[in-house]
Amino acid sequence: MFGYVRPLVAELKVSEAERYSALYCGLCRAMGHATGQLSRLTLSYDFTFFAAVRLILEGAAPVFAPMRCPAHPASRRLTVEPHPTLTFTAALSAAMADAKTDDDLADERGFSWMKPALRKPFTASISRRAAKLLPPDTDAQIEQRLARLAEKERAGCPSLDETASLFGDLLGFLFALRLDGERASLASRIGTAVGKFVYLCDAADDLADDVRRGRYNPIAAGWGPLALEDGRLSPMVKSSLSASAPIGLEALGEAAEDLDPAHVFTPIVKNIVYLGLPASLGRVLDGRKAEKTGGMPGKERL
Amino acid sequence: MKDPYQVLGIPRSASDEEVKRAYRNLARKWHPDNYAGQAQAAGYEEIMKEINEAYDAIQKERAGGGREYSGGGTQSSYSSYTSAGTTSFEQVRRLIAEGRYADAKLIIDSTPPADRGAEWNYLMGCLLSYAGQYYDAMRYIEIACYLDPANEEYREAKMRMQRRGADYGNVYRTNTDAGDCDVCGTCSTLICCDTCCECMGGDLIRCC
Repeated sequence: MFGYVRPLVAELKVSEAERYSALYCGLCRAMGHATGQLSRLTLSYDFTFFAAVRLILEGAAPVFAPMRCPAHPASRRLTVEPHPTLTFTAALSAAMADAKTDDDLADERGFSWMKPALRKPFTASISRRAAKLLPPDTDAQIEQRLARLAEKERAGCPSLDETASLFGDLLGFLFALRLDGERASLASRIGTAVGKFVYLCDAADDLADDVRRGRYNPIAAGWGPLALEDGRLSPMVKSSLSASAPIGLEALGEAAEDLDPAHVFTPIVKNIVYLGLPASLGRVLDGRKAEKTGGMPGKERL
Repeated sequence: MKDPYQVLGIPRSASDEEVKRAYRNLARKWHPDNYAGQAQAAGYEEIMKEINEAYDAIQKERAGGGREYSGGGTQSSYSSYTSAGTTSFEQVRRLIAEGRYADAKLIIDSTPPADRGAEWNYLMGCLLSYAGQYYDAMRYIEIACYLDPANEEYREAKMRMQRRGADYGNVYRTNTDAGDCDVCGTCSTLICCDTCCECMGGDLIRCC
């Protein structure tokens, strides 16, 4: 989706980093099985986080085993063995990839319309396969929430809180899907807070580009002429976001404290929540791109 | 009146051409078309007016070798429109103090665009932060500081938010540390106990 929801690898324990990359590999493998080998190209950090949160909430005990993988034929890597939660995550990831393509198709004008148009047949096909693994009205629910957001964006909404909350609603819905009772509400709290934050990062990331191409951007809509300075985020916007985004994350921190502390993935989720997300925000505000770790997080850097 | 050169962001020694260029850039940036329909439009219009006045002043000064501006007080420059809505803003502050946020919001929302200056932005920011809308709250507070940089109250609000933002994640960082069982911690606990004992008339450590 966006790639902002990742751990700060330097602060993970060696064992945690290994488990995180095992989950990443496990999800990739699950995507291959659930929605076809090509869909593995849409593997993301964001859905790895999703999988980790869901495994914790469901109290699942994932099995780790060394496996071979076509992307890294030289050595066996620790991988989470197939698990229904991973299959479910893979299916949702495919559904979201297709929804994102539709969104881009509606946004883009002129030549840049080509890219999502070429991607559409591919994401449509993986989404069709995914639909069989998801509750029947999932696609409609996602579309409905994105449509609500698109409507606000078309109206030029100047409030970043309002637009971000609508995106938060969508992620809250995804996180809580198929859960019930207390677990559903905890999942929804996590999804909502993460969604708001991701939307903010994305808006800040695209600001210069959106303004140049005359597209809607929630930050530009709110700040007007103060948004940009010399074609980059103005110091005022930076100072504002670097204070308000972490305050917005407080709710996420509280939710993360309610997760089962004994689960293997809880320390990793907490790393993402407390360190990874602020690090992503810092990257976005400084206009830096995330460093490449060669597909698999952690391993190469250790 | 602000120093017109400071408003345009150019040195006093700038050539006529540079003055014109600086003016044109700023005027393009602050043209009303850029923020049509926005909540803070009034504050921005004030800035545009200031830019125009500064340019006129420089033109006049250079044409007639006229009077010089020696950078007068900057604090008072915005008083013209903060005073316009003073009474209703006082009421807003009173309502906020009483915790009647919804009523305060009604007044803020119904403030005519012409009175939406620094104080309006500040109060709007406060109300939004009480409502948990921190992204927008911080924007309004930041704009209030921008419109009236000398105001202590706005600056303090901004710093409070910044401190709170910087605190995020501290729970995590302190939890993962080894704990407070180091030498310093032990000593300060002993000294604290001693002080408490002495307050009550006793003594824990005889030598101090």
